[in-house]
Amino acid sequence: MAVAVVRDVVRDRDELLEGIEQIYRRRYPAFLRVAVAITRDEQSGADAVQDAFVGIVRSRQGLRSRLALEAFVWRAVVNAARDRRAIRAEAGEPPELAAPTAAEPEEWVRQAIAELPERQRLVLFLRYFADLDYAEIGRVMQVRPGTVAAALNAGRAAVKESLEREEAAAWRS
Amino acid sequence: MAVVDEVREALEQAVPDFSDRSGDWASVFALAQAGEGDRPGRAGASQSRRRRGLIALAVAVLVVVVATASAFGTVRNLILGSPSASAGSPVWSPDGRRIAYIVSRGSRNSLYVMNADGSKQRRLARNEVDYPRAQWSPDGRRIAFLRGVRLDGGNWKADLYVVNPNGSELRNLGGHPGAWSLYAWSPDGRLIAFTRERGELAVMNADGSGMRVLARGGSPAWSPDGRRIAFTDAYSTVWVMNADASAKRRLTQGGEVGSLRWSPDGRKILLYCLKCAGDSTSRFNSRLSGWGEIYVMNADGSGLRNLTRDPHAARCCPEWSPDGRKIAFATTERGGEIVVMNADGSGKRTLADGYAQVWSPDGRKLAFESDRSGKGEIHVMNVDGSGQRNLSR
Repeated sequence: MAVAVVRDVVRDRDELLEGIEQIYRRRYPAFLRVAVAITRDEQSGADAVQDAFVGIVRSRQGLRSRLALEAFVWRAVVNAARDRRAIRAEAGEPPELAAPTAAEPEEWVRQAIAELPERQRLVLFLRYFADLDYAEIGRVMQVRPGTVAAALNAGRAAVKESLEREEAAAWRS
Repeated sequence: MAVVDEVREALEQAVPDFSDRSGDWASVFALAQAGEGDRPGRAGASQSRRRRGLIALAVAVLVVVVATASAFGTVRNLILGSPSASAGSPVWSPDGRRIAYIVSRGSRNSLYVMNADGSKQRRLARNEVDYPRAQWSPDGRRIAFLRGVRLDGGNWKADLYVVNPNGSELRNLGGHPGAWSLYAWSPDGRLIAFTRERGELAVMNADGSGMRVLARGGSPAWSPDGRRIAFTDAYSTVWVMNADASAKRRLTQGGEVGSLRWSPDGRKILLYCLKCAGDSTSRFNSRLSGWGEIYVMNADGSGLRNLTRDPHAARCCPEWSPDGRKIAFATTERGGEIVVMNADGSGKRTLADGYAQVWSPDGRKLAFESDRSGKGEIHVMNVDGSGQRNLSR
């Protein structure tokens, strides 16, 4: 039985490799953008995408369904970005992107997004940059679609509230 | 402005746009092929140091550009407003007058067709169209493609579909092909060979009826006369059999062979092979880690020969020219380049940056996919590399 499974997996290897390469080529900017949103550092984000795909290519024998491949890839990118962020945190390296500075006019926008709980922030990026639907985001984050919807609504509301608050402040000034 | 637009805009201002980046697949592939001792994290860190200077420069340029654009209120136009569509996997109609291709928008793929000059782009099937590329029937009257079907409970299954080139008569042929299943019309257009989910090589009539399993295996390729089918078995070795499943015969041993292509005269077979090594023998050495190489052998398995033999780049997807005198393939060198060589491997010439190349039926042009503009687009060129033209615009 185990031998039969291995045979099936080996047969699909080359076809899967071509599929993985196509996803990488087509979606690289979106992968990089979401990874940078997590790591808050451009180089760490690029390294995370690379880590994820190296791991996927190496372990593609374990992939059984092409139709879930993109969600699988996104999950790998998100996990790799979290790992990279942890490595940076352990090394005490400060974030190089999305770190508000007083001199920048969009400080409050970045601040609002940075203050979101990680789940809400990640759902927003996956929805708007990766263009994944609720079910796909659920597969990436391994939560139910209902949880995705709730996190998305909460994230939107938080950003909206921040926008309105800052616009009111700007109007008053 | 709707909340959705406001949130999207806020996100765009929070993270730079990288739509001009294309990644480095060659490095990914090389690291994946390296020994287990080369952990991705450490390799990535090493690359970090080498790339840091260039990245810093790129970030500086990006900051200047965005700051300048902000001053004129054009950030939203400059920065990606929504996931842009990417076109790829072109395939010519048998009469050379049209090209079918796949458009990806986010995670959704749709099947399109256009005239060979790029005019009259038309969507034939939307969403969940799957790779590999679509396949025209030999008479050009139908296009077969894979499509995912969402089941209750969130699971998926794929089916083979056909549609007329004008978008009419979309029909599910069933079949439950496996992941990334390669499939092929028989030369007379009466049958479609494909791989089922459980690793069974099957054929069905062009209307979806009469499905029957011929062998364990995949990657079917019909001989030009339609009498034989070459395929790979569960161990990715190459076999050939008669179209009625009789007279199965193994042609190679070892290695990991992917797609197969019969020469137009039916006398030779091209192999795209991972981890293949060796020469002038039908025994590959699968212990040697290597790159995707292109081999050719006689249709009886004799005379195996490596046509690429270059340690610097992975190669993919070789295609015979219609007259059988040339072979086009893609390499991951510098992010993807299209190379044409003579059928004996001599005279290699890089023609363009791109991949997924296909010959026009008259052998005078190549259609291909390129992301030189930052997103995938369909291009055509003459077979000497001249006259390159973007059909997606």
